[in-house]
Amino acid sequence: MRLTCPFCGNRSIAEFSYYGDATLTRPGSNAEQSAWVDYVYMRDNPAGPHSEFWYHEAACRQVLRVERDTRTHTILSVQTA
Amino acid sequence: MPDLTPVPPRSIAGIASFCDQDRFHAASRLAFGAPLPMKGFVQAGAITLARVAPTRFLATGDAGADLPARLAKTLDGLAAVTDQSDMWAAWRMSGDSVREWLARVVPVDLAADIFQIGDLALTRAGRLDVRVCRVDADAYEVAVTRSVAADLVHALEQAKTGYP
Amino acid sequence: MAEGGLIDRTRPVRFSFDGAQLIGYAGDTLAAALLANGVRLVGRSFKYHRPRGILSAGPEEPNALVELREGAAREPNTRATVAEIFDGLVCRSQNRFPSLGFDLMSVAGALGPIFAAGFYYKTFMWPAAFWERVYEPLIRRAAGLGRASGLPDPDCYDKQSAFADLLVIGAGPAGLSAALQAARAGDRVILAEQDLALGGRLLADRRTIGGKPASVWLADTEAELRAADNVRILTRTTITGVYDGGTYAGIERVADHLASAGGLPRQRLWRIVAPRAVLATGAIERPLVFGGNDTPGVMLAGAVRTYLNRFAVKPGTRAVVFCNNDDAATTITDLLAAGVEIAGLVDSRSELPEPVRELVASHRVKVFANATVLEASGGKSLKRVSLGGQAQGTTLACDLLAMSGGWNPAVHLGSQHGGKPVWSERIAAFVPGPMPPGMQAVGAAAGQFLLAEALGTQAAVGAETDAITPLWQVPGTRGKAFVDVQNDVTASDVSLAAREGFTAVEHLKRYTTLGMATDQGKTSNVTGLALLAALTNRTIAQTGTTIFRPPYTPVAIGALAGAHRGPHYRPTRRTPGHDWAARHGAQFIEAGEWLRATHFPRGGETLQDATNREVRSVRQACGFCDVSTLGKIDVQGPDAAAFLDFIYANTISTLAPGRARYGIMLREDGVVFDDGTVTRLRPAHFLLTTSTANAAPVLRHLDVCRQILKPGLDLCIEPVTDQWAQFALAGPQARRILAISVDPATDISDAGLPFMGAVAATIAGIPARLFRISFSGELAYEIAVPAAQGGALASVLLEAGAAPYGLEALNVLRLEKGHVAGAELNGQTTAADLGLGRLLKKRQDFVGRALSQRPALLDQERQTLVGLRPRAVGRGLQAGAHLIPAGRQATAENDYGHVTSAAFSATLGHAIGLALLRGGARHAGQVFRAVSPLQGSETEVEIVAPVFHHPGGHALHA
Repeated sequence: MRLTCPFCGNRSIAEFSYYGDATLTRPGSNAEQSAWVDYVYMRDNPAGPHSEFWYHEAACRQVLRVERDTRTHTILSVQTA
Repeated sequence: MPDLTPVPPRSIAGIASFCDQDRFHAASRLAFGAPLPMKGFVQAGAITLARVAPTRFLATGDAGADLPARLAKTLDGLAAVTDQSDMWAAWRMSGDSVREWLARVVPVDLAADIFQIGDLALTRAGRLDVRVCRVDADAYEVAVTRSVAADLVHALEQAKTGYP
Repeated sequence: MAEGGLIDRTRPVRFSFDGAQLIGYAGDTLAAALLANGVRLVGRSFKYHRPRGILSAGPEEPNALVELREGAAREPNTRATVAEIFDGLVCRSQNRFPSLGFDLMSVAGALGPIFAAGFYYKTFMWPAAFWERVYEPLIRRAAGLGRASGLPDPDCYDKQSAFADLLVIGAGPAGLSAALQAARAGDRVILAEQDLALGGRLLADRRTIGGKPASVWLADTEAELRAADNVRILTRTTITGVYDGGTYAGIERVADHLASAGGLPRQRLWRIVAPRAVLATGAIERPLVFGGNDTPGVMLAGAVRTYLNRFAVKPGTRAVVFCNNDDAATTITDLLAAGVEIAGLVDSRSELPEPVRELVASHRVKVFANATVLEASGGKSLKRVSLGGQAQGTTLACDLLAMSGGWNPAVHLGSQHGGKPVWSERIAAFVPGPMPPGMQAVGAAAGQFLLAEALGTQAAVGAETDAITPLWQVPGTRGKAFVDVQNDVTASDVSLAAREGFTAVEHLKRYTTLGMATDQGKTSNVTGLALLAALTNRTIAQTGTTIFRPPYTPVAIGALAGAHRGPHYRPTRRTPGHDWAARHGAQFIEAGEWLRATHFPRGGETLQDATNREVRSVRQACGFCDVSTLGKIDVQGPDAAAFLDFIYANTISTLAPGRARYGIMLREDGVVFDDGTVTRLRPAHFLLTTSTANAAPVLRHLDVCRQILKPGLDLCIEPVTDQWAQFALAGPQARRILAISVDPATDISDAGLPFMGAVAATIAGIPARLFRISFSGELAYEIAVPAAQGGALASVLLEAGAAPYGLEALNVLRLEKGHVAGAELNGQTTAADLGLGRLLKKRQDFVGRALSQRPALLDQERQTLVGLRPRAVGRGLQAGAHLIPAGRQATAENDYGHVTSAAFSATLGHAIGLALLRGGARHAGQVFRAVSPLQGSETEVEIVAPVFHHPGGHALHA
């Protein structure tokens, strides 16, 4: 798989680390335990476009927000987080 | 013929700007007598200025230039300056088929009209994080962190076999 | 033949096959050279040990698998149709004993009915224990093809990246046309061809283009492509896989055809990135299914033409052509031109098309229309064929049968992303279905078999047709009719599978093993599923086809490894003090990515002796240890303190400039992530250390937290691990020793540099950062100097009277003080488990706070940190041992926890350990069994507080 980093250009996925679902919002520190359990453990597993974070570890160290189709690995969009 | 020469020690300062980009760029233009590059690297007198990320730069000068200390003062409050003079081990690669040779180690597009003189790329070569700069028509500098220097040299020497 | 072909008769090549010395010419494949020398028997089949010859002339070859070379370089299962001969090449046939001509295992053929498909599901079942120890080893020895050398691969391999706008896969007429068009349009083109020369079928068939021999068009096209600087041509390069993002893998045979590699890599893995690709892989001819169709001398018609036209080899002296299509009939012209007698053309079609009728008439060849071959016989070499259909009862003497059941487009690469090929009635074959993004098929790979279609131009190519009438199995055959010759799968095996209910094409494959051999069914898949369709009353389109995964052809593991082998499998990091330590006798160990000194033995000291001495030298005088491997991260900015309060579980912002503090950080699930030291150098400038193994994960964590969770904070994070050489200097004499070389202007008295203080200093002229922190529990400092000066600093410290100590002593010292390290921070322990719960901030938010307060993580019955002391003098302790209450059985129910770290304490004179124990300190004073079932040992231990030496810690404040 390859990603086009806005700063570095088109690169192999080997340069990146995966950080998962980009649609999550970190609960407030006084939120219910269940909100925290959802945030840390529960994930949807959509067959189709998935918004997720990839961290360009080997290069610019930017976190990128990527939309990827989980069925085909087609990269639909890449933006800085 | 392929040539691999170690780059002698240099004074290197890492510069990461804080949020106020305008003030940072104004101060650095003053400090270097030239604007920081939008991408790749440029010469500002005796100092090479390279952009490695949107808000991160490396300033490189001769061994005695003491850039980290000077820049920490000049850019105090505007950027995080770190001494990286000892952090990197770099080699200069040159020769007619240097791009074929380098392509056996580094997975970026090195075509002469795409990766031009003054261009820079940070990438992963196998399991080594490397920084590649094109310093001349047929010459490149490749740098890794100091602790894996021997591994980079081995990879480059290995890749030389079968050199056309 | 004395003339013709693309071989170089001025360069003879001497090689051997099964000990016989033979001669071929440069440009010959091994198969061509063997045929030229009259060698027709080249192997014995996988299961039945039937004599086998050469079927094809390309990488799809299922039969002619040989062992090339000797010793460590021996490579089994190499296709003779691809291997190029060179002077001194040694080849051997496979899977036969004692010899190819007389193979004892051919008796397996007589036992055919027992060894039908799926036999191992129905036989050799009893007694159950015998399967693993007796039957399976026997079956494995009896079956199988080549033998691996069993020795390390002596060759070197290489990898190279290449980028293009367009990758053209295959350099036959269609591929060459596509490459030419793209090159002229200014695209960057990579043209990959698995053969040693460009041309594809143009090298095998005698065609004309624009009224001239095709070789002229080929030479002109190649010249233009080679002259273009936007074209890279890779020959001997098979594209083996299509991956995501327009990435392709190719294997180039760099030195396989050379007598000596001479420093070249044997093979090169190409990683090609191209947004667009053209699949011009051509088509693979199909055999026909009839009795004895695996007899040496039975070959594919197209292959016969290749041997005649390209290699100037006559595969036989008297030939029969058996086909169901127009293409095969052209073999007649080439055979006659080479002086081969034709016994007859057997065509299964009742109405022969005009072109074929004209051909046989003009050459006066005997024709048997609406006829088939029922059986080919002759054992080790074809002698005759018996006909059926309209020619029932006729027998033709011959030593060569050129057969063709049609052509299958080579769709494999196009289906590697899951797109199923689509059945085309017109050509009776599958064509590519949905292909990977950016890929399109052209020429024969797309089912366009005519040269005019491949060239896509109006150039005159002469008359040609692709008419075919499918014939999947010859009715009424006698003897074994093979579908997959490499795995010895017959037509009756396919019937058996259908009868037993394995009617899905994926089940057919796995039950019969059809298509599962090293050739991946290139000459058998379509025939097999066509038979299945007929047996199950479905159309071929309904039956469908299996698809394909990379690699397209077998790949040497060495090619995938490239230079990443042995010690270079992954990088090895060396500390700035490494060379100094090596010069001073250090022994090293691989600790994660790093090489670290474990001890500095003197005289004939054992590891234990040296460790004990080093521990004593620290506790009694002063030692120094290279701790450069700890991760170091520089954090600066107006909001640095606020950010670190969020990252660390304990408070950082209250730290004064010039002071350091222990920092513990959690994961968001409340479990401890890492610990280290945070030093505030200046109000907005911090330096963090991390454990060695977590340097990269912590940096990642900081970057992600800043960019995703705290984007509004103004600060910068920079890794500086390799910038600094760092040494711990520890022991009662540490200050005195330090004073010898530190600059007089720096006050290192207890008041000037108190415990947990930090200051800039100069040590023997080397600019340094000095931290008064202690991992050992003694009066101690950590000294950081620029990495290039690491060795110099070590010399200074040695000169001043400190003794070097390594990882073993470091570990004993910290254990004696109960400091937790990696074994205790194991990804399951919480701060509370480790006795550090009181450090957590109560009110402010930080990473991990919410879930660290989960009831399950505060449970009294959790395994928490305790110390262990063996009850008997002289008894050792094993890390990993499980703790069972004294007097109870060592079972899972009685497992209260395990020993995390253990060592012999030179300071105390007995073994000590840390452990995680259910209920922890509540068991203080109790006796447990520390049981190591794997080592078969156990020790009785007493549960004690997790600190063994100077619990008060007064030495730190000396």
